[in-house]
Amino acid sequence: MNLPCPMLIRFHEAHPTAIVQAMTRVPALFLVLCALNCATPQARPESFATLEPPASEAGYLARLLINESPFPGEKGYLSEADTRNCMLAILWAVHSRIHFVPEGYRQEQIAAVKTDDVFDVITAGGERGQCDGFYRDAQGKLAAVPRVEQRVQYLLKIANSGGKPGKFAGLLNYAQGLSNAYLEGGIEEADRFAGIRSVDQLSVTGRGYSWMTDRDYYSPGGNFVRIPNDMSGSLGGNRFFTLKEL
Amino acid sequence: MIATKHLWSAELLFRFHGRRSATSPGHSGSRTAALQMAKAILILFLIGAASSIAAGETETNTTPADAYAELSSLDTLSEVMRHLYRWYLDETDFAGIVQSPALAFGIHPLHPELDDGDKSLYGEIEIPSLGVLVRMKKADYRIEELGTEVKSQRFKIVNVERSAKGAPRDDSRREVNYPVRDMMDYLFRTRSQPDFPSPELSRRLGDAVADVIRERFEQHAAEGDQTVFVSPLSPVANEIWLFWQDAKMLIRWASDIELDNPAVWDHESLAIKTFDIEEQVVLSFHEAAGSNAFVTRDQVGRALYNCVILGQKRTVPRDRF
Repeated sequence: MNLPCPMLIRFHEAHPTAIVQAMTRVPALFLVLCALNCATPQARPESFATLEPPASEAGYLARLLINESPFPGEKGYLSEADTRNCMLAILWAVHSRIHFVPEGYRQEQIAAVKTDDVFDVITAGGERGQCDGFYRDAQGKLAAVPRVEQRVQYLLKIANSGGKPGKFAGLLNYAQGLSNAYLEGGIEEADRFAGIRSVDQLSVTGRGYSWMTDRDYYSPGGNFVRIPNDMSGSLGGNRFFTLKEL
Repeated sequence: MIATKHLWSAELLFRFHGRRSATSPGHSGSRTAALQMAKAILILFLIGAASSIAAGETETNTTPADAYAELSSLDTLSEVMRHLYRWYLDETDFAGIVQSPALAFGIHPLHPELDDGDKSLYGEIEIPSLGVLVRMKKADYRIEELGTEVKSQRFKIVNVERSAKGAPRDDSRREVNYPVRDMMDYLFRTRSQPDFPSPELSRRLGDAVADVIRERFEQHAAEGDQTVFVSPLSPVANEIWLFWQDAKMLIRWASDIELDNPAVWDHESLAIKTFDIEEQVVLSFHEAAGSNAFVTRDQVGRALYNCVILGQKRTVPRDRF
């Protein structure tokens, strides 16, 4: 029920004397109904996909996974399963930068930061840092460039249109579910790159530690080693990289 | 096979009716005419059934290999080479091919696991003498939420990879060879050939550029009319680059949907990526190891060459944003 509570509030601000006089004449029932309306949440149409707020840790992490992965119609899209695998591999990469620093490496060499906080890993280097577009603002709060939220809101709009949930909703909910689960207890699914020991006769550490748009001219530099196609190194239009064994 | 069996059965049926009609006493002319009509109708029906069955057999007889024949065509391979020439290759690459009489291409169909109902085709073109693998896609699926058909008219490049190892050699791989001299001549003749977007696509690009400029105008302290350069559009690549001169920004539109499909521009925010040349360029990725935020000066140089030298210069009037 939508009763004009906001209108009453605006009128009161403009005409305080008049509203006091008017209110003395308003039936009590009307006032009660008005109060109930203001207290009751507005009914919302069914949502097939929901995300935590961007300022929350779970919402922020989900947005990283979404930002880096293609949806239907976008360049790099192969399948829903492939995009999900991409999201999972990205989560593993940021997790490994904290918890699986290979022998002989310092964390700063592979993550540009020394920390045990996954959000420090994500925001390391600022706006143009390790994860392009994700940074901490001047107050140290988690922040992202506007295009990240613009795209997310657009994807949500698509996901929640139509009469039934589809791939967009599935992928958005997957990203949020993965993020929630990670922050609560870690990653259940396996790291597909964990067992790699050699790439083109080069000894490597295994595990993915970086990802970039899958173009031959993109490379993270340093000791990062490209994981080839026959080891599923390309996911969601991204190329994943492991590390050279020292 | 099925049509033949039915015709044989029909013949037996009519022979039976004919024998009975000849020997049965009291046979009337109207009954004979009805039988003749029924026979004619049945024959026509069976002919139609045979035709439709034959057509179905023709469709199902299209082999999977035919679907990939486009990848071996000189037209496709020439355009792929031209795209590589403009965006990937340099002088050292040519040294590897000019000594041979023929340029070999290995064509390899790929069959990744796709969504239900997705009939897209994937293939790989290997050019061993260049150490290059080009992944191609001919999209054919539907985005239910958008009500959009994503259907490519031809195979498009989705990825280019340098690979000394090359693609796996199996029975599905085909090799085609074209004279090196012919290919080199083509690349030389077309090295400055402009392939500009259609008027309709140009119009949509103009609107999209105006939106980008409007969003970032204040940030880049730009003034007055803005100048952009639009790269040529390759027939085998679903992406287009722009250089926004006043902001020193590269803008890329890339999509799985054909860029001249209105659906791309109804959802253009999904297709755009920007690169601030002043902020995001390094000489080498070693300068920012592990980061995915940068492009190299070499890559930017290629993009600028395509936009400024080979592309079109446009002015975006102040009143459009």
